[in-house]
Amino acid sequence: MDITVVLPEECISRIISFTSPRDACRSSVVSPAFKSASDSDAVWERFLPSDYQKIISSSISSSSTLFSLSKKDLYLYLCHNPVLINNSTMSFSLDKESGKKCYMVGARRLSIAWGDTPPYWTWTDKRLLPESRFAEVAELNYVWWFDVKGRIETKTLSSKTNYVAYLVFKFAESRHGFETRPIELSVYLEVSESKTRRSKRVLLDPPRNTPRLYQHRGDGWMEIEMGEFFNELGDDGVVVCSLFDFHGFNTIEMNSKQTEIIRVLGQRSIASSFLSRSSNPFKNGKEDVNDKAKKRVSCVSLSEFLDQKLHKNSVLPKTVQDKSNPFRIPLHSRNAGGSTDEKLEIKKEGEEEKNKVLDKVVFEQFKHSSTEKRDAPDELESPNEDRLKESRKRRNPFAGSDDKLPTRRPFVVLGDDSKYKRKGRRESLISNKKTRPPYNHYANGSGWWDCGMEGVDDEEVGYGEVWEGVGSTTFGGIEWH
Amino acid sequence: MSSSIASSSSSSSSSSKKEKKISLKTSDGEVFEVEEPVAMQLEIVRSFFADNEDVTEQTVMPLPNVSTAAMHGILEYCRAHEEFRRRMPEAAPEEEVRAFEAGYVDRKSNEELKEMILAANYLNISKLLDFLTGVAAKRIENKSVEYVRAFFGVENDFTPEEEANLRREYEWAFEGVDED
Repeated sequence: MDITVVLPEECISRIISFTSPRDACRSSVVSPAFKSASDSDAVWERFLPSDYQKIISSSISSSSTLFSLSKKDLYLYLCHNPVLINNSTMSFSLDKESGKKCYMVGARRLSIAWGDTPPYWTWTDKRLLPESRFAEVAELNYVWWFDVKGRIETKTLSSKTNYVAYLVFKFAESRHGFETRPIELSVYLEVSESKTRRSKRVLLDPPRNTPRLYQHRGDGWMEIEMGEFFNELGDDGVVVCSLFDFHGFNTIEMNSKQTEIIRVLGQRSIASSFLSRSSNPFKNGKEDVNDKAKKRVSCVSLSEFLDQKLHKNSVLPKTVQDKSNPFRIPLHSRNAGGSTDEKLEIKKEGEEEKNKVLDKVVFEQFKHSSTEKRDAPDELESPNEDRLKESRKRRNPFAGSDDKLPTRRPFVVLGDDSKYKRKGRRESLISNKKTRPPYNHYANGSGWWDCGMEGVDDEEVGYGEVWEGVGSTTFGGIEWH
Repeated sequence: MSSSIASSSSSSSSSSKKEKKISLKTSDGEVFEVEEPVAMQLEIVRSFFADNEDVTEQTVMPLPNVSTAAMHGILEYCRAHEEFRRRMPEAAPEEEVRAFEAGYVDRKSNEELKEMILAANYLNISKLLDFLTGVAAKRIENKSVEYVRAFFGVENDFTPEEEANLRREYEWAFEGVDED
């Protein structure tokens, strides 16, 4: 053997800078000289994102402190301590293995249908939810139309990186709906949604003995994978992560998983939190008491729900105004009445009890709507044939969904990833929506209805198709890892 | 005295016209006559001739930190790149370059690689240095601490306590390390 060539520290640093953070940390154990070389700023500057200074500068609180750290300390800090950026509506962190950028979009930065309408969503202060990194989380009380979108610019993400989006959420204890209604989770590019959209329908709160798709994050929240997205050069505009047909959520997270080439980036969660409670429209007032009782019971039996709905429909339509009707009908009016109180409880529960799944309801609605028409008729028919005709969409969905959901959906829906199916479903859903004249629920203030928005006059449960009440959930946000 | 290997340069088809040559003397006394465009890739040579007005073509520049073996490797790399540049001045043919570099480095042992890194660092050829250190990085990636010590011929000067503390601190970095 020749005499071993001894390389100067600058060469060692240069070599290590071409490895990875893991290798650099391990190299510091080789010898004191190697430690000096592998801890150098020259090495870790390369592991940090090229625009890290700009990103950190937008952090109000900590930028000056962070810049005083060595590059290695800064890197490791950012891996373990997400920094709030963009007016504290997002958080930024690094994937430890790769140094890739991870973001969490807070609930305030999500587009939440009816998010600012108190009966449906409540914004919970962080003081009540200390495990949230953001000042506020969104708490779902009940909703007819579950529609939450998180957006992030691809140019802010690391290039040539496979990202995975996660919904970060927690359930309130008295959740309702998420166990039976599959929610559609999708990720797509905003400019080319039809081409890039990938979605799946998932029961957030699957029945016992059924595989659960969410995972506990260890920070008080749960996360469920929404979809993946490969960021080539960051010139694809905006990536959208969408939750649809829900009742309640806590958080959506987008995490980036790196592809084989890049390795998997750490998963990050963007927490926007919503607590959703059982689903019931506003109109609960009269029927609230009954509804509440029903709701509690109803969680189990669809038939009860249907009956209730039917009753409500029959009663409400006449008595209640258009706005009120839709809510009542689709959601279980029960919740609506007790929503306020329940919400509070739910929130607390949600906070305390992460594991409990409150709402399973919403997701399945779409399916129901399509299938409901077929299946539901039987059930519905008994109550009112006229309704079926008039509000097939509305009524059927609800009835169908409720009835069918408990039995069928749980089994079918969970883990349903097939893209084709999804697309088909979506299309069907969309078509349904389109076919039906878009009713401006917003205007009514009652809720969302895509499909079956009939005139206000129609008090029929039809709305229920879209969203019945969703149990309470809290959304922490969406994370990109 | 001088064994001019330079003129026998690899398939350089350009040597029809008489080129200016620069003489470089390695640590073990061998003198290389190198075509000027190739020699000028060595930053230390370029600045030597740029900064000293009294040097002539006959001046032999001593390079006391570069062995003959390393010089052979370095000139092979620099000549190949000069050839690429001559053929395609606008943009190097990336695939060809990659193919050349892969074959070029495959033949190098770890000791040769380190020797060339040392030489490239001294000669200040940043492109070659980046390439070689990148190759070295791949060779130690995901290897154990013991492997890296052997690779670089480094003595472990840490006390057992110090090393244990560091291993604990960076425990995450020791998961899934390759077998030696």
